[in-house]
Amino acid sequence: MGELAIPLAALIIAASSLLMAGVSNRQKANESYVQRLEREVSALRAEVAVCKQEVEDCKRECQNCERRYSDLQRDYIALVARRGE
Amino acid sequence: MRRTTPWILWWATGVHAVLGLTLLMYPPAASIAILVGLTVFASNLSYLAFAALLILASVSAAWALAHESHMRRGWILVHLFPQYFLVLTGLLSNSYILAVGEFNGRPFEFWTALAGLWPVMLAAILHTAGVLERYFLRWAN
Repeated sequence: MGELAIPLAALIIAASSLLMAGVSNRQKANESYVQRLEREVSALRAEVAVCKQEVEDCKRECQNCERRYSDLQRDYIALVARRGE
Repeated sequence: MRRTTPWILWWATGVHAVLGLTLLMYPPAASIAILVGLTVFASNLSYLAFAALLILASVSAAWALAHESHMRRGWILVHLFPQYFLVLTGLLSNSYILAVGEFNGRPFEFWTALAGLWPVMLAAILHTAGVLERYFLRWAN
């Protein structure tokens, strides 16, 4: 029994240190996963801000076009009315 | 971070594989287990069980080392466990022999014994350091 105490002790040390390594790795892996997610979220937020700006630009361009169209339509109507006189 | 090749883990794999195969081919060779500090298994297990343990440990560790890039990390540790257990047994066995000052009832001169047992003890220390450094300190890079 005394002789078998050595492999038993080795078994306990090996199991506990590998278990510790596994647990520590899991914690580190979770931390780095959270950090990666946070980086991705902030990158997506920046992308959303750029998209919002683009939408605003498009809206402004659209309003300009509508204004120009209604001006042209008014001119056209005026021209047709003048010809009819 | 750069990952280095864990040569000391491969060293143990090679030692256990050769010893296991030698036992299968020539069972009386069990007495040379003293060279790796595993006399306790040679005297308490059948040669077949001892050889199976050695070969299982080396194949399992080699499998983990060769496939670690696409293995789940918990599984790598499970595969390394038998070999880690064997080298720790060698370290503790040799330390015990040095502490009590005799082997198989025969006393010996401490420094001579230390010089003889130290290579395996040192390899076990390096193996432990290698496992902990690789899988405890630097994982999750």
